[in-house]
Amino acid sequence: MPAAPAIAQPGTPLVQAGGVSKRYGATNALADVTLSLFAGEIVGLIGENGSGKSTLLRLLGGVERPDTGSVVLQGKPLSGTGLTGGVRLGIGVVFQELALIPNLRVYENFFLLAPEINFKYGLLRLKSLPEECRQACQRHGFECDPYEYVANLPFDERQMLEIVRAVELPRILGATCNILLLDEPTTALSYEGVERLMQMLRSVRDSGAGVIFVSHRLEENLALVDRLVVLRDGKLVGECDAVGVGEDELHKLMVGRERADDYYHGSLRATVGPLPVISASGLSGEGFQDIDLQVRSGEIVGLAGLATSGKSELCEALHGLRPVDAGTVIFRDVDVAHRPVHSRVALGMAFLPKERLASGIIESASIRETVGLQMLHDRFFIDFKGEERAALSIVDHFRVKARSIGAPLSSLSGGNQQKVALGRWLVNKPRLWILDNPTRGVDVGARGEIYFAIRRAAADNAGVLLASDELEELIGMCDRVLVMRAGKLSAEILCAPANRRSEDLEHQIVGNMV
Amino acid sequence: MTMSDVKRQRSDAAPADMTALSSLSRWTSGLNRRARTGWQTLFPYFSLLGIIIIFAIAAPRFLSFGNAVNIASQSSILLLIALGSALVILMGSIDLSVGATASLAGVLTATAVPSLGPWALCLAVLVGAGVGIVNGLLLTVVRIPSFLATLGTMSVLSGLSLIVTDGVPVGINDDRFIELASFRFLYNIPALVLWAAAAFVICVLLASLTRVGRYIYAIGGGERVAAVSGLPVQRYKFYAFMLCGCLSALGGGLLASWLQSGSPNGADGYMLSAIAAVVMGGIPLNGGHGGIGRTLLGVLVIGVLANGLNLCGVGPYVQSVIQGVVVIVAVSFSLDRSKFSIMK
Repeated sequence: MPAAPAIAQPGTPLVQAGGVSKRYGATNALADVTLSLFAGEIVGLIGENGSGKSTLLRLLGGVERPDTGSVVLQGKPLSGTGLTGGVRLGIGVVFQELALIPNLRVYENFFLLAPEINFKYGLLRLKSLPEECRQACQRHGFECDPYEYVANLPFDERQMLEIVRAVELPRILGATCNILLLDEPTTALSYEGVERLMQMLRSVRDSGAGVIFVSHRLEENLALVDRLVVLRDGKLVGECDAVGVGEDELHKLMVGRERADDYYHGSLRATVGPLPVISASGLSGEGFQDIDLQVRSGEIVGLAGLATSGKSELCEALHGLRPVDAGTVIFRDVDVAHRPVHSRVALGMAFLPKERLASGIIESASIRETVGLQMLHDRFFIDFKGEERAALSIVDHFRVKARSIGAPLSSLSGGNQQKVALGRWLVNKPRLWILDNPTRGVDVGARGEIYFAIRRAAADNAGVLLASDELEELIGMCDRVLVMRAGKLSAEILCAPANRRSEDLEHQIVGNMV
Repeated sequence: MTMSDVKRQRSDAAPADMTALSSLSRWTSGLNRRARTGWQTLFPYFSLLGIIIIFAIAAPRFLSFGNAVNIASQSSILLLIALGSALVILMGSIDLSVGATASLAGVLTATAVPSLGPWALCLAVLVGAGVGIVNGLLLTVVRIPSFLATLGTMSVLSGLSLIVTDGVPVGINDDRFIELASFRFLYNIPALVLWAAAAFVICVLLASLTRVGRYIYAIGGGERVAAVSGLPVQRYKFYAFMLCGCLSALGGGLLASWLQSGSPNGADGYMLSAIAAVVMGGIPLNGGHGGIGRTLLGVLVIGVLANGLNLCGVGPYVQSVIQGVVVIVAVSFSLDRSKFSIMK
């Protein structure tokens, strides 16, 4: 792709980041990025995890200040105004995490960022606020009851509400410009939710606002945006019109190289053994019903489904973190359905949870202590020498980059934290790995190494159950993929190598997801 | 390329920036202490030193061996109770019933001395274990947060102490029982101090060398992570409350022996001092890091302060005010706030 082709843009930009850089500890999140947003356009910001998209958005939104460089809003420098200040200047931000308070009503949430308009003569405007909220939503073709509690809204509608609020609140407050910054708003939406959202965004653009849309789904970007900006490792590596650019080309730009054929180390595919390591039948619990699945030794089985499909719940239940109401789980010839986690771990089950920081690692613990935690199941006194040996071998095995094995995990990058969270199980010699989105929030390099580690686990005759939101990953890694829909298994798709083209498989999986 | 080739190739590439770990830090804390600025860790030492210097100037008798023994004996009961609290707080829970447990253990022991003699102290420990079991069950089976569960048991235990004694202290006449705390060994040091010292050493070793300590740190650092890793979280919570109950009750029993009487509510005041001492020692109330060993510092700050103020002739009302101010100042400097996103 040619470097930054001149795209005719009338007038001055709404907001402009000039040579901004930002560091967080040891990571260089952004380095010398320049980006302008004009009225009446949607800019798609794409890049791999950790490429700096969210950081750039936070700087543009005035939530954080750049270390060097400046952010200019309509000719005036913008400096760490925070969210409430940003709203008055016309900036609406929707972050990855939903920023609505569930135990407040829709209209209360709507006006939360602008306390002053909640009152007239010192009294709450109980009559007019809900009406204003209803009208604002209607302007975007979004019907909702302003008196409803946000907790009772379906997920899609909460996301709509956030977007309407981000657009309308600055207007109500009399801001002169309108900027909408969206960080991965579609990740957890249903397919029709994505359609509705896109329509909404087009009408917002046509009303004269500037929109920056962050998503890692390329096809969505291409369908929606006017202009694309590609970030890689904190640097701006490409900028182009959205018309006439191919997905492959963008992918190459995002990852920085042609995708290697053996990115998923397909050549290391292990021989699948005849007997199941784990076999669940008729398994039901909160979030999943009537699940039958088997994972054989050496086999990598994928688990696909929407965020609400219950695949994370199923993984947790298999590891014993959630109670099961019915069914059996035979793990290495023992029915563990009602056994506690520690007896499953003792039998050789390893689990990598979806939220790394909340349940995968203890940030204040060191690598040595994290590994050591798995070694105390059958001994009372800590074996310091043994811990050290195990930690060093795991650091070596997974190529963890750390100052020392005594360094707290909080000082490691996300990818390295994930490698430790995964590697610590090796001391238990697992027979089954249950991995829930193992590459979530992990940079490209570490990703490849995690895929390699998964292959090696299978080659050591362990079974692997790999739940993932990324279809490419599932197709690249798995021998077969189980698809979940609304808590039930809806399909089983074989992805043996050279079976079929990956586009067909992807199509088939998506077809069974919704 | 075969699998084993790949393995070999990978393991050859050891990262250059890995260094062998220093083995020193492992003795000082069970889990790696967070990187924190030096003065935060050192502040309790400085405040202790500051208090000592002030009293050395203000009260001539303060700096003497005899007075040091006094301070040690006066701090021993608090140390026993604070050690128990430290284990629970490290785990991210809290036990508000430690003072009431000590009081109840004191009066029950005093009541039992005529029939059991020195063995009444074992009864105290059994009472503590019983309280620990109740607190542990409330936390792990009934699933009430520890703050509320132990708030409830605190009130129940206080009431029980009053019921058992009718509100009147129970005197102790048995010399063998009294000597459990006050028997003087070498240099006139009372046995009470040795009890506390032994408990201190055992707790520090337990926290830094054994599974119990490591699991307690892990539960405090991330209960969910501990559960995912297959630690029997609920069982260890139970153990921690048991240990806390036993230590508090031992403190209560020895207090009765030291004072030659068991007084209902006599040890209730130790609860807040114990929590203050633990936090001054660097364990945050949400647990997970900090060393049990430095709880001793917090205990000494409180003990030295009380002793010095007494020597200076400061009245009890003013003492209470000064003690509160010192605790606030010490905690405000020694607390690591980097982990707090929300202050509640």
